[in-house]
Amino acid sequence: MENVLDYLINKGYLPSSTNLAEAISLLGAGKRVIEIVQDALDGFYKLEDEDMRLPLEAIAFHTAIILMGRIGGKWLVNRLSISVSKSMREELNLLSDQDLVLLSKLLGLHTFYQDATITRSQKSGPSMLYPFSVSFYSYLKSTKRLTGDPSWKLTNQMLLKGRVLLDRRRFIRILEELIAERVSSLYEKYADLMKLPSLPPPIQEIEAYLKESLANVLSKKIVEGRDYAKNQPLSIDAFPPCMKKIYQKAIEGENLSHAERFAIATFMIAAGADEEMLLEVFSHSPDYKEKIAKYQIEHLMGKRGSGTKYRPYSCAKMKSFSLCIADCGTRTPLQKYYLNLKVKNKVEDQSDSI
Amino acid sequence: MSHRELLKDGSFLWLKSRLAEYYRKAQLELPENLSSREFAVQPLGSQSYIRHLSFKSEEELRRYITNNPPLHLYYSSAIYLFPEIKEMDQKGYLGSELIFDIDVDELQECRLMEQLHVCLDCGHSMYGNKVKKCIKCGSQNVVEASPVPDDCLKKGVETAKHLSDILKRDFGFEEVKIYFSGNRGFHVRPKCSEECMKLTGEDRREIVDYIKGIGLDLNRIAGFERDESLVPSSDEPGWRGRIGRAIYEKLGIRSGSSITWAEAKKRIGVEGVKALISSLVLDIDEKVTVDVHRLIRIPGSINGKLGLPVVRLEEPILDSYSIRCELSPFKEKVLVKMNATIIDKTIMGVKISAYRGEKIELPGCIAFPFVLKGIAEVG
Repeated sequence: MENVLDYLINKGYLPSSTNLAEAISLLGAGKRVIEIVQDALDGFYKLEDEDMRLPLEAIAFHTAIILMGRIGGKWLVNRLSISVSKSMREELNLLSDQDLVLLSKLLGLHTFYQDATITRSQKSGPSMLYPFSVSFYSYLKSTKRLTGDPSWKLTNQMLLKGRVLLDRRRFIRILEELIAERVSSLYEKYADLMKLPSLPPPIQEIEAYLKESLANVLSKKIVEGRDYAKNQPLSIDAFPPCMKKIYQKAIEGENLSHAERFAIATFMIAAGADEEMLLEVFSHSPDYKEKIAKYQIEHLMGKRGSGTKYRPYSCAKMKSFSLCIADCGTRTPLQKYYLNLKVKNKVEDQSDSI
Repeated sequence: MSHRELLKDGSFLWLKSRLAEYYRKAQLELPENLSSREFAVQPLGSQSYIRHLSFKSEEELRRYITNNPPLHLYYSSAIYLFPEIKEMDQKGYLGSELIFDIDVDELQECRLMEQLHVCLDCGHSMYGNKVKKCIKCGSQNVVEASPVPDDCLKKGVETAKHLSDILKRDFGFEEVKIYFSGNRGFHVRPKCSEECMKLTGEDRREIVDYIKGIGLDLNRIAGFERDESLVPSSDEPGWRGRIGRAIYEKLGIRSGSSITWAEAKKRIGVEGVKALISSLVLDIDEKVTVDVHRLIRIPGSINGKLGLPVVRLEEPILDSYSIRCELSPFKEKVLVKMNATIIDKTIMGVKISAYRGEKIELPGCIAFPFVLKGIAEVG
């Protein structure tokens, strides 16, 4: 939080040594904090970008993140991050190419624009059609969640001298991802504040109000979601460590990568989960859309498309995606699950027989 | 029975003395961050590895390997804060080199390659692909007696060169080194920057997919189904250029001219075009590249399977590379007793003719793998 406060103090928007609670009072940002949280849940955040209101927006936004983390955990913060990135699309579309490049650099992207070394090597179109290029390292990092769509796979990109060539539309899509990532990362940044037993007034009052007004929405998404594992026919306790970790991340609303989504979905299908169970797991995802999730799950189950039921990953495959976190001594996570179930049932049988 | 027990004392001592002598002077190509790497060895006479070794300097490493000459010597592709710690999650992983492995016997054209094998029970020798059972006595105690054939080695070199081109042209790596692994493989290693060292397993998988053309959408990338579209020009980036180069080369069309997909399909056939594009896929071992904790043979160390050192291959040797006796550091002749009958066979450029039980002099380059595998024994 120091950075935002310091910035506003240095710019003269706030008196020196103002703390967060004082800043909220001074700027009258409480109402806006509540609006931001509600906008995040509705999936549409709109930046208040009038110059005069920017200090208020900055304080309200960061306070909203802290309160969302305290009330709803990472899921709620991720929800806001996706909402912010989508709302930025319109703004980004209005920017000139040069401004997009500047913004991308601020977001940490290694970007080039109509780079001469690439243009010279091209006699024809591509460099004109694809004026932006980013290092393939940046590309891989910023498109992790997008590669489920084959058109984003590195294989299908114009790759030259370590750069992925991009048209304006795709470049903007990458910026949206980076913006979402930047907002999500604030969850870790404010982790300490999120753990404090209580916050000073007036933040305390805002938190109390939000807790009450969001109780209905959040209890379904988070409280029931976390308890869900205990009340279902699949034994989550018996999941192998890798799947337990992905499952936990999903339930806590983290943004899973494509490989993680595929791994947990195919594993759970093979272990006997039905469509409804999987939808419940994925419903915690910050970018959850029931229609799309349903379609994808049905596809994996072999109910759509070619009718192929997708097989869950083997341990070797999990290892290759760096998703393996323990040496279970089995060939597939499913084998480990069945072994664990056996042991678990045995222990339960024994305890029943006293 | 342990490997040590399988080797007769005379054979064991001879192999040990050869390796010890080699490692006293061997030019090992070691990384700058040597103290951050995990080292591993497979000792002579043992079937298992000693892992999680750590050395502060080349001198310390050399002392270790001359006192305990290893059959195989590796370091980790990864750098760690604490390379000596056994638990992988406590080593303090800092990053890992990007490594590519080409196994000659996994190349499409070489999956059925034939090598000379011998049966250690009856001494019969036979050619075949990965022979598991003796055709004469039915024993499963069968070992390879000759290295990979030259034509397959050549395919391996071609694949490594092609991969090196892709890494330079597409991925922008300025330096890419190609190593012969000392048996049947090639390691291709781009000079890895800090960003490269930080690539995750998932990132590396994307790179492998790119090289192998996995998920390639021909229509999106090259407009394959739009007959009126032009076949991409040879100088275009990525797969577009690769596809373009293959088609124009096949049709003998010079750079600068272009044809439509309709014409290409008419002249080569739809299946012909697809087959041509499939042939551009490189057979690399994906497990090696995506595994950030992989152990790599140290350049300059001996590959204990064939007794040849891991060597860097550069132009112009690259094109004419073949497995010959001259590559071996073991030059001295040695008197051995043959445990198999090999008549009129040329192995690594050396003609061999001997019956089981016969005592003959073999050059060190042949004696080393023969003694190691039990095809011959010393003393």
